[in-house]
Amino acid sequence: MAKFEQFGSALPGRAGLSSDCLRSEALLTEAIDGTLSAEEQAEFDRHLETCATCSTMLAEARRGVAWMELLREDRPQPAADLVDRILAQTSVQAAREAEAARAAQRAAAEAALLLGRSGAPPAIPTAPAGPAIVLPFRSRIPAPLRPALHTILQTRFAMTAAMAFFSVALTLNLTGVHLSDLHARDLRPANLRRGFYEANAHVVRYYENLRVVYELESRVRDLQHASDADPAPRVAPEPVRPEPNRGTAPPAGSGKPRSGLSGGAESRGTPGLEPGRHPNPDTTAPSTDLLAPHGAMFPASLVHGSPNRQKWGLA
Amino acid sequence: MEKTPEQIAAAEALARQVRRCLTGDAEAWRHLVLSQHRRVYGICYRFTSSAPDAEDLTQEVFLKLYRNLASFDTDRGSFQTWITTLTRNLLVDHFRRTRMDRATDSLNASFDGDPDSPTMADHLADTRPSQEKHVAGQELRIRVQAALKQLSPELREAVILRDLEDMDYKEIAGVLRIPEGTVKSRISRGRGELARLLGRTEGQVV
Repeated sequence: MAKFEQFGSALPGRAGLSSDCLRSEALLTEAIDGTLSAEEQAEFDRHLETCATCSTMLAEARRGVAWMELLREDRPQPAADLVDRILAQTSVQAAREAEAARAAQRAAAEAALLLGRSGAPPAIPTAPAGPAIVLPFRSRIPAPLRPALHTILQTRFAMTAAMAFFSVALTLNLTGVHLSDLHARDLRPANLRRGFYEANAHVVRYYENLRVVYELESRVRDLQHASDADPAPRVAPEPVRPEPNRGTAPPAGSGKPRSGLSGGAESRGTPGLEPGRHPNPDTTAPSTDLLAPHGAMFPASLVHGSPNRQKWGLA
Repeated sequence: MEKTPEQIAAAEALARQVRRCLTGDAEAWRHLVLSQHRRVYGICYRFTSSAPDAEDLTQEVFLKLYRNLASFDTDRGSFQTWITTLTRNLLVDHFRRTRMDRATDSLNASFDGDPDSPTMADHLADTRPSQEKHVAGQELRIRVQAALKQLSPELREAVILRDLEDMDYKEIAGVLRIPEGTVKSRISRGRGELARLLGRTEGQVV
């Protein structure tokens, strides 16, 4: 009987019963019900006459029935709001499940359309194979409007609309278009074209300025690398070229920036920052100045080569 | 124990109601809850001896019922058996869940109670007016419920389903998933155990 112990507790055993007693126990409930056949009843009675244990059992069982009869007369009454609580719980559940089912149906319909099977109505299982059961509860929206409204009112669509609005607004703001400043005449072809060229020129100017800045930055980085790499090569060439007067000058092959500076580097202070003054290409820069942290930041070649050198101030 | 025609008709009406629920009839579902919640609550209350627990369990039963209504086969078994099985399974879960709480409870409370209180025989031999008798009946019921709580759960559920819910042995066997013979012996032992717990009123009750 152990395999029937679903509650996981031990049943009080009833050891030491003879086979007759076991038989009698099996008949006991029906003896109390009064549904034994005449033969069985006779057999049962015969056993009870001789077996005190079983007569006690019968007596106790009868009393047990009487006690239970007392309880049966008085059905326990649940709290008055129990039904409401159950209904509230299940209708919330219903609304949630119905919504999920509708979403699934729409998705299935959309998939069918996308797959080009729109001719045949998509077969949507009304009762999914799983245990989830859906009770489609009433809705206040009239039937013809229901699909459209449900589509529109979904959270994901609202979110999409909001995101679209924000991205359009943000893009317009960034490009300097203010809807409040927009007039009908701005939309005439000539004005539109002018607006386009203006915007274009604006962008080109902006880009050119940026390019100058980046080029300058990369020069500075190169120079810094050169200064970092300098001490090592300086040691190497010395034995090869034992010229005492050029000992402090960097060797010709001491780094890439050297070639970039072939046009001559600015030596005094930071004149490159001043648009009006061009560095003298003939000036040969002493190496100490070249390696100074801020010296020769703006090689003449770059300054000369830049189409925008008038706009240094902008950068 | 054969079913009476009324019982068969009631079972059929219930099956119809379930089918209406499955078509999405909210009103049918409300009726189903209204007609069944007392019975479910009754089983839960008699088993757990606790009104709050029984209410929570009843709610749980109906939520589960609601979710699984589609899996009920109206042709195969009676709805009554099905809902009872559902209830009983939740009771088993609940019993296992609260095992620790009960272990501590039983140390504090013993059943025997006040030795000076009137015996069962006194109560039953009572010939006072009906109002007082009613009160006495309530007291007795409380004691019977307390005794029922002391039964092992296997015996308790068998006795409840048989003596309070009037289910036949075959139905009980289906609900408890045990052979009919086992059902019968559990019912007998449960009744006997109950009578022993309720005191030494030999021969007085019957």
